[in-house]
Amino acid sequence: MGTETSIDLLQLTEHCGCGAKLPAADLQNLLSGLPHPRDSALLIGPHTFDDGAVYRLSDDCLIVQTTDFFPPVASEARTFGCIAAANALSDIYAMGGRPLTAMALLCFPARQLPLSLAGDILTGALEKLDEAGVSLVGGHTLDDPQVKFGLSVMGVVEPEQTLTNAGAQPGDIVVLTKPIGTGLTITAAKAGLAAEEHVRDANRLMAALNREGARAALEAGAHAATDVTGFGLLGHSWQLAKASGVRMRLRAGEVPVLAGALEYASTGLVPAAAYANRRYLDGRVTFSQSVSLARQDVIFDPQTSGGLLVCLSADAETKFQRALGGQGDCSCAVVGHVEQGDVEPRLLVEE
Amino acid sequence: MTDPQLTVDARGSACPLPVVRAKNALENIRQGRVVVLVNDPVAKENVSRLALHMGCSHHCEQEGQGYRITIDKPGGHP
Repeated sequence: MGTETSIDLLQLTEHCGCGAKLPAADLQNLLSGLPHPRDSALLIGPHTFDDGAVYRLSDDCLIVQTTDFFPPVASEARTFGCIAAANALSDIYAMGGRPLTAMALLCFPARQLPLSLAGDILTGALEKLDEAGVSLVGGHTLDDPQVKFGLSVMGVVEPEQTLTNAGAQPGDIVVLTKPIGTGLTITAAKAGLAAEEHVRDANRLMAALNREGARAALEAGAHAATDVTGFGLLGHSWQLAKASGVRMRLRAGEVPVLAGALEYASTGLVPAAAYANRRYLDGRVTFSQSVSLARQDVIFDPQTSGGLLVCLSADAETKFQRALGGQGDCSCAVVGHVEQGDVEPRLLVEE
Repeated sequence: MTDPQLTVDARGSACPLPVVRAKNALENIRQGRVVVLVNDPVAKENVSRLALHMGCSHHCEQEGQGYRITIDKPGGHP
């Protein structure tokens, strides 16, 4: 069993986690050429940048579906499995839903790596699914040169509890439930330049479920929510603002950042996807001069299993905080507010 | 006397490798010039950030399909 522990999964991949997504601009081009689904029971489909699709089975029963899989984000297989599961489940929580079943998607170089490593990935995922009360009901494997893992998840959502990108209202505050900087930390780890405790913090954070954040958002009557993943804090903020037909003013200095991440940004350990996110938002975001380059890099940084970005009325903040209860790794930071205006640049970032 | 010059050819390497190699080269000299060759804009941006972070002056120029980043490390502090 000695060989498994010496295999560092991060060294087997060029792009890590959600940073391996196709650039947002390419994805948008790809999708815009496809016909829209015509089934009227499909309430939320692939064209609104939402976290999951919502399909009406009957008036009181909506199902939510999502999938997410990616190359390793952690050196250790069990941790990778845990994080990949938390990340896939997050899309259901971000829609206000309750995940029920999951299917595993596993690509694995069966002739190059010991199969027990794949077993460890699945073990990690099962631990996380168990915590979430979700059953793994099947899956699919491929013999593939690049390790990739994730889940397709199905859940249910109450019709009046669906959280989408498209409900933010002028005057709302914008709240973030986890610190950011996981892409930078993973890149630093891959370079062998990350402090051990920074990697540990990032892993713990990525493995944390967004269940409590979503529950708090629903209790506080949130108007819109999404989870922050590969397109970074700014990419997902823009998608939410666009879908809601509003502008958003963010205060970069209020955004909680993982210890070490700003330092990694200024050292040049910025993942390629952060630059792709910056290009995607060209003309869609303006920065005040006081926002340093490192802080800009952090808010463009692709997140894996990031927190929820929630828009709610200012007077619901206390209720949200109380519902969150300050438990586990969920925190509540007010990072900006929503303004009227359906024109670009719709993101304004101040220090 | 001219300062020593080192060349790091990181063409074909994906980030974060060019940054790691440039950082090692800069740390291994007391002062002088390190030229880093890269072939994608991400590596160019990241190596530039590193140079700034290490208090070095630098400039980038396009060279063929890639970039040449010339980094000057100032003399050591007394």
